[in-house]
Amino acid sequence: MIADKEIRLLIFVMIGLFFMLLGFLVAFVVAYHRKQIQGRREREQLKTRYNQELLKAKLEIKEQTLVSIAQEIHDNIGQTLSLAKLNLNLLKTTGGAEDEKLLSTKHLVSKAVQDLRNMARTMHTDTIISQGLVKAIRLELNNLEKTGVYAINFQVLHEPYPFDKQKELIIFRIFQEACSNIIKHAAATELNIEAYFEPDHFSLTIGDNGKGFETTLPSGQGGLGIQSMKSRTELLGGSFKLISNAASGTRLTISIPR
Amino acid sequence: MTVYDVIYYLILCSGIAIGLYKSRRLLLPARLLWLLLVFITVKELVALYYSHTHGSNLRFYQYLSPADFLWTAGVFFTLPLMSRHRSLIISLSLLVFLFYLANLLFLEIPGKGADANFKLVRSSVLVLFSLLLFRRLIDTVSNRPLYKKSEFWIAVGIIFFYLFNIFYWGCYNFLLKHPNKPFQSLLRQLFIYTNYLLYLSYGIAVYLNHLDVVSNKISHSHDRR
Repeated sequence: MIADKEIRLLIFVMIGLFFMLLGFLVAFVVAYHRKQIQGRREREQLKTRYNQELLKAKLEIKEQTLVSIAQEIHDNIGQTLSLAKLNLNLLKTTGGAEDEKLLSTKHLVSKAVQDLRNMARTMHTDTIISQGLVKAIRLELNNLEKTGVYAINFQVLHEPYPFDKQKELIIFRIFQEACSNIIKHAAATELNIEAYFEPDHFSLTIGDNGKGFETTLPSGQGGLGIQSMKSRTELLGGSFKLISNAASGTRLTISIPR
Repeated sequence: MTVYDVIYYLILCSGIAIGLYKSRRLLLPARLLWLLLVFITVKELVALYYSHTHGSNLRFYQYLSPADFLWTAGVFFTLPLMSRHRSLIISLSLLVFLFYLANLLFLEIPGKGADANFKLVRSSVLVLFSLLLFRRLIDTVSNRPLYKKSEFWIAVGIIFFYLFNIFYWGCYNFLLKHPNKPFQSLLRQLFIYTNYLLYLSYGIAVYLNHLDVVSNKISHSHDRR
């Protein structure tokens, strides 16, 4: 009788042991899977952080290059042109047909000096940083308007607030890239720029009435400019939206958290 | 030969065939595991012959029982994942072997019953090794799915078989005193099934022949095939 009782107990122990082992294995597999997901997530985060750092480094190098070029324009080419202008001013007028040519040359050199200065100003990081985002955009648009090709409408909604200087510079470079794309490809006559300074985020919309383009190209086949704008926006933790069609042109909106 | 025996040898021979097929590319632990399968097959065949010639092969099994254990401990020792537990594996293996000798000389003399004490101790140590391996697997998670890891199959086979062994040999003396045929037959059946599972998992481990070499918390799997 006692032995039967103990046998029954042994069977229970054995069944219990079996289920315990099974439970252990299931728990192990679940825990392993969870850790695997966590590890994958951490690796993704590391990858994103690495890409952001890489992009930052690239942007810094680009900025450095622009600063050097701006410096070179200002100190060397600008100086040489100024000297040329001075020499032209020293030339005596003869009252003949050459005077007209001389005057025209003086105007051309003056224009070249002014254009180079403007270019150097938009290239130079310190200038952009010192005058603020809205002013820098306005200056860039003024230069575009001077060409006489574009009718420009620039609107600033709400009171502009200052950003981190590095952030402002990146936003400005995105804006510059968008303008450069419009000049190169859009064949547009109108530009509409809207800067929204919302309490929690800033958004900038750049629209044109150009010929538009195909935005649904697979990744890797899109233009480098668009890729660069997109990754710069992502670097700031923002969103990037591009709508384009032949009928109404292109509209690019970036939204950056404050 | 019963159907059980046929399945048993079929599993063992499959493992050996896999090892032969992959013999050139086998890593050390997988090679040891494969040799263990060869050793077990030879041992079983000799034991079969021994029982025909001597009537009982109990003595034969008793003399050879530490060999299986030491071989399995050797597999654990060579696993890169168990590198931090190597000193523990050596010391415990040595202790178990000393216990085997003492048990053989003073407690369970060959030919007079099975060496249940030694089998209990051996199984406990192997279950401990297997648990340590599970722990190392969870500490060093890699991208590779769990079912594609040799270590996982080794750990699963060993924990099932030797945990059941602990139970089986724990009941052994009690069942000698109070025989219960249905229960004993159930235990024998389960013993056979867990044995199948063990050698099947060894075969899978040899087939996968993949080992993680890891030292970091978030590891990177290195397929060394």
